[in-house]
Amino acid sequence: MTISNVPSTAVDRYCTFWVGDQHYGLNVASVREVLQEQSTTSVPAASAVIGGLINLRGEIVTAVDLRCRLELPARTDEGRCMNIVVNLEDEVISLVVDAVGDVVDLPADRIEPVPDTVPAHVREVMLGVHRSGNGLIQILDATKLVPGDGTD
Amino acid sequence: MTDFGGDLELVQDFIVEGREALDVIDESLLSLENSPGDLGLVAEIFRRMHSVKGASGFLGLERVESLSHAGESLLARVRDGELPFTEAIASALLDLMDVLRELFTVLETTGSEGTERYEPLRATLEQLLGGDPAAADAPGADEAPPAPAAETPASDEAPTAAGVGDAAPVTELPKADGGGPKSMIGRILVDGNLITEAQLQAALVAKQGGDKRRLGEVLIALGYTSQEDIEQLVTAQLAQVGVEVAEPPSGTAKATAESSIRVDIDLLDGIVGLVGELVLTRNQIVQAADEDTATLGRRTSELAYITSALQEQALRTRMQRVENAWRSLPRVLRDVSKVAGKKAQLEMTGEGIELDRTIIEAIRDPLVHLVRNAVDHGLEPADERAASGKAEMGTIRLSAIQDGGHVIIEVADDGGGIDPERIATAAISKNLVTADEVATMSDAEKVNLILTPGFSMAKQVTKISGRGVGMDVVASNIKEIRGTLEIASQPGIGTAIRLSIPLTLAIVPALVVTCGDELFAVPQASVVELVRLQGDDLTNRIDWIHSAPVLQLREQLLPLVEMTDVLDMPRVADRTAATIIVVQSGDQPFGIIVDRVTKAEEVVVKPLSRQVQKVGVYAGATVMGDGSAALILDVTAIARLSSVGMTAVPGPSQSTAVADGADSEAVLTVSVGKRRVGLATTELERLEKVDPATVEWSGNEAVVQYRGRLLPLLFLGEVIDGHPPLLDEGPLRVVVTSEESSTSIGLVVDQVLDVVDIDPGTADRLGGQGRPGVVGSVVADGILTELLDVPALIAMVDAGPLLNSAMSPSADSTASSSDPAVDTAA
Repeated sequence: MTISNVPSTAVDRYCTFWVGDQHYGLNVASVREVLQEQSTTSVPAASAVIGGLINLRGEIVTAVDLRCRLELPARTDEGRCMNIVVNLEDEVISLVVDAVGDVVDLPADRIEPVPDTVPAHVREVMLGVHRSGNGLIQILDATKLVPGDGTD
Repeated sequence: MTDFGGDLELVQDFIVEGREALDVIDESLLSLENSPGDLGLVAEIFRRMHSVKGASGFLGLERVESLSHAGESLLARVRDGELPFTEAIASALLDLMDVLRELFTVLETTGSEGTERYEPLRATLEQLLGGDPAAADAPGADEAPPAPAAETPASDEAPTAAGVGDAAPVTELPKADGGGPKSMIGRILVDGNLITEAQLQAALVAKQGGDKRRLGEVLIALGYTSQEDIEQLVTAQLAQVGVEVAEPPSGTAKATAESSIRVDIDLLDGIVGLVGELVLTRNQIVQAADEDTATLGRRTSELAYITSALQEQALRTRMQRVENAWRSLPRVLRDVSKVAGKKAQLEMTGEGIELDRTIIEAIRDPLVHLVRNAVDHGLEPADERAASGKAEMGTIRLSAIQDGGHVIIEVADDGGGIDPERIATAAISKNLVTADEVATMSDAEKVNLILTPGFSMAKQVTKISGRGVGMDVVASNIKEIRGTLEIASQPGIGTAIRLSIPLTLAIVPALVVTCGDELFAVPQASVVELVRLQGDDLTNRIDWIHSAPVLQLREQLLPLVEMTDVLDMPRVADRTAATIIVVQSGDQPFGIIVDRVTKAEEVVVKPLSRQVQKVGVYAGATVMGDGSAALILDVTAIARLSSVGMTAVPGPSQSTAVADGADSEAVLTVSVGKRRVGLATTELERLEKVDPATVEWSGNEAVVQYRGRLLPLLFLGEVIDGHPPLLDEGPLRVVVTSEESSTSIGLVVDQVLDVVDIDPGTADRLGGQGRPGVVGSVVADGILTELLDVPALIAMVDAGPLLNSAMSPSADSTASSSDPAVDTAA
């Protein structure tokens, strides 16, 4: 849906997904794999953003509830969720999202800056916005999705 | 020579062995400084230096060879009594060691010896030699007879590269000229008329042809001489130079090459990883086996048993004694003391504690820095100390102790202490804190300002420490291994730096507990005992001091916390039963209330992401038998969070003495399967080894003829651990009980471990938790050890097979109200 006819320019490949009605994208370079809903062990006393722990073939991965992280309203339906496992610098986390979309190639120079009116807590995790078809894909920065070390 | 080509591996091996040799020489030189008359030490050092020189010569490493030759010649003079072992010589040789280390590093990284010729050191060495430069150049004839200490085939020493007629440890190939003055043994034997020149040549030819044995061995094999002859001759030679052969060199460490092997670290990591997976699989099978037949059950027990044994072995290969991290410190102390002009001595305790090698590696440098600091900043100059009534010689005390799931390493000095006000003022002047913030700080907090990045107390940067990158770097290094650092100080008395490092071994024994809907793992090392309260007990034994619950536990009042409160979970309503996990944090025991302990299991500790770590109460995570993830609790952290039993910030000397003397009870610890079990020595008579073939069976009962009577045997493995008697694994280890008060029986265990002193006050009676025969538990060496009631075990045998079969291990730590022998008394 997006291989444009514009010649030459570099493209970035994104894995897209949905949380609520918002469409997001993550550079595939940081995405390790995509999984179905996983059995999660909750972590009492942790912030709500920590959705729990997942056993990924023997590796314990922290699940980050993106809906909570992005401060979106709670889910009204009982639908399933998906997991996007992401490689960060020194750890692996799993982002819990509502649904996974397509993998798209978008021209690198077409990414637009994040509008100032977007709430701060979202702006801090966004790299920019792409127009795609009729809608927008909000490109996220994987490294910022884990609640920062500054907040303590 | 810059390109070693195929010899690269040889050089690498040489460097590894060379470094080891240098470390040992360092230690020996320091010992020698303290006892300069010890010729044994001199000979030992000489021998090692000689091997390094020999091997380097063979590999064509000119600089290493010439430098080590210089050192060797100096030592030879000392050994021959021509020169006294002075401090100047000691310093020069220690410097030589450093230079050689540097050369090794250069060699390793660039492939060549570099361009530095180290002239100043050479000059010093020559000067010390008495200004005889010729002796420092040509390794030659003046070496002949005294060298044999290194070459006797009779002694089973660490491989030496003595001259090249004999097998050089690195290459095992003789040098092309096949002998000459370097073929010591050959020379001696010919000179001593034990063999002829022709025989020597024949042997050398054989070696050249690829025979890798040492020359002496070849000669013996060819029948030209005998072991005794060689030994005799060599001893005679050595006697001539006043060196004794028989005694091991005093004060030096036994050559590690004799008792350990080198293992490729990747291989080792692979093994340990595999074992981890095996443990998980084992757990899963055990779970599945619950539903199945007895045969499967037995197989599972065997699998479990083997797995545990394998896991323990594998882990142990990664463990190193703490003293490995301390090894370089005596040298550091010496050097720093000299530069700083202070007098200091080093005391070390607890060096036997074993830690995973990654931790040892991580704390090495921080410890060096702390010791330097202690001498440089901590200790006062000798005259000041004398003036204030202290001993002139300052003491730096290094200690390592295990406290629950942590190892506490302390570097303490009896110096001037740290003045909190001075630190605070300095911190303000460096704009690290404001005066307002300081006003609310306690003394301890002010002292800990030292750990703020950018802090340095040195008025000018000294050679040793004080670059402003000191303590905070140490603190961050420690943080990387998830440890903590604390400074405690009393002005005038001294300072102690406490490193607390969690023992995240890959696999730890844990208790699985349930709390509400959640499941957690609690490391057994933290658990002192378990108390099960049911029905009325729940209300009767818990008192409330305002809103704080306490448990009456024997003579103590034990503060309690609800797990659900600590973890921000909803409280469990309408409890009819609960289990109290008694843990100890520092000196203060307290109890955590959970629903129940479901089982004891070994779990593989997996790291948590930083986010989860930040919560503070979790020490790690693991995968349970059913594949779900579970959190491992950090008991000490829970204690801190609940403001229970704060560990007292220690003064420089902290004693952790166990009750001694009349109040302690001697307990024999043995291993049974993967459990540790303790038996009061007052109930025991002796330890025996019994040949399984002599055991006679009558149904399920086993007896053996023992000193003219029949000794009934009780297989503790079966009773406590559920695994069947292993009758084909060699002699049975039997602990025979005393005949004094009742029938004597033999308790069959896996291994006898130790006799430890236990303070009966801490050796706890299990309440409502007990299996018959088990009266309590205590933590010995960080491992939960179950104390057995010997009279109860004897009663089991008397009662016969019926009672034995009732001892099902599946009722492990689960309270079973139908269990007839449940001990509910405190």
